[in-house]
Amino acid sequence: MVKRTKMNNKAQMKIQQMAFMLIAVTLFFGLIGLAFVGFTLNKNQESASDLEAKNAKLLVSRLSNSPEFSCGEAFGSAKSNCVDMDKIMKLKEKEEQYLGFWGVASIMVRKIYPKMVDTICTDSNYPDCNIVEIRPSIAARGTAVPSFVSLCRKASDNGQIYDRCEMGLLMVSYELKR
Amino acid sequence: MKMINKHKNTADKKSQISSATPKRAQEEMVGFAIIMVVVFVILLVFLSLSLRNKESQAVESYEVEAFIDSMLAFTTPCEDYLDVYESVQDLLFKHFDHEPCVNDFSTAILMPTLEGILNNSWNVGQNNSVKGYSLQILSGSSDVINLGRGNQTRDSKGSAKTLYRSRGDPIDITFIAYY
Repeated sequence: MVKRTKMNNKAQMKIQQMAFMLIAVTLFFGLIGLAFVGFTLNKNQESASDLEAKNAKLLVSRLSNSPEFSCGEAFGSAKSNCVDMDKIMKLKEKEEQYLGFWGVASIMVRKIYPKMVDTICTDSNYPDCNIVEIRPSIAARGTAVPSFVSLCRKASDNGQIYDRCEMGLLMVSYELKR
Repeated sequence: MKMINKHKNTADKKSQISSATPKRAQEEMVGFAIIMVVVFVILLVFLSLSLRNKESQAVESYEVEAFIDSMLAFTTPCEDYLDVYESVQDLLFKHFDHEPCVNDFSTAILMPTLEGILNNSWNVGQNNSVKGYSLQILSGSSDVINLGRGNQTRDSKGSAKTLYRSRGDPIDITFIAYY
């Protein structure tokens, strides 16, 4: 009888040991699983942001040569990376018609040389300004992708009209998914 | 005597059981620790691999190409009889042909214009993404314009463009941004 009780105790100990071990192993692998799921979700979010960044880079490198932005032959022969400022001032007014067309958070043009105090362009101050917000940024967190462009417009000097091109940056922003 | 032997045998068995139980427990603990270490090492390798892929380039090649195009189209203060004001490209032709502008020497206008464009376009510094740049414009072997700023690091993005002239050697423009 005593022997049987001892054996029962030993078996119970073994079962307990096994149960504790199983709980520990399950917890351990459960934690690893949680970490892995978190890591994968984070990576998915990162790749979504990377895709947006890639899209913005592709867009910014081609946007200046699109019909809505390009100078065409308005300033002599056709030039690449040339933005018609007069055209984009009109585009700015009709931007809502292009909703979802470019698929980015914001599009902005900034004159960088000759240098001047930051002034947002409106119909009343154009061309004495340096920032044209074609699509103003509404995103709380965004990253801008810039590309150099020449900003050309018709200017006048002593009554004579001439083509004036300045250095500028075309900036496309995409929303961060993180 | 028999009684003593029986006691001895029981004590031996007890000591055998008691010495075997911690040994087995130790083995299990060591096994568990090995599993933990292996999983931890795999996680570390996985993490380091994923972090390594995150590097992005500070300067893209399209940026450098676009910069040269935009620079060449820039309208300078160089007055001309026909076009009122010359672009950097036309001013370069004038410079290499040793022709003056109506209001000044072509070189006197070209150099500050190029410096102004470069200084305002590239934000160079040790703490900035762009560490330096170099612009080389040459026609033939003798006439060279060299403008640069900052450090020339191992990582760079460059672009070149050739402008052909009706007379004389073509003009080769090379711009490199270091990051």
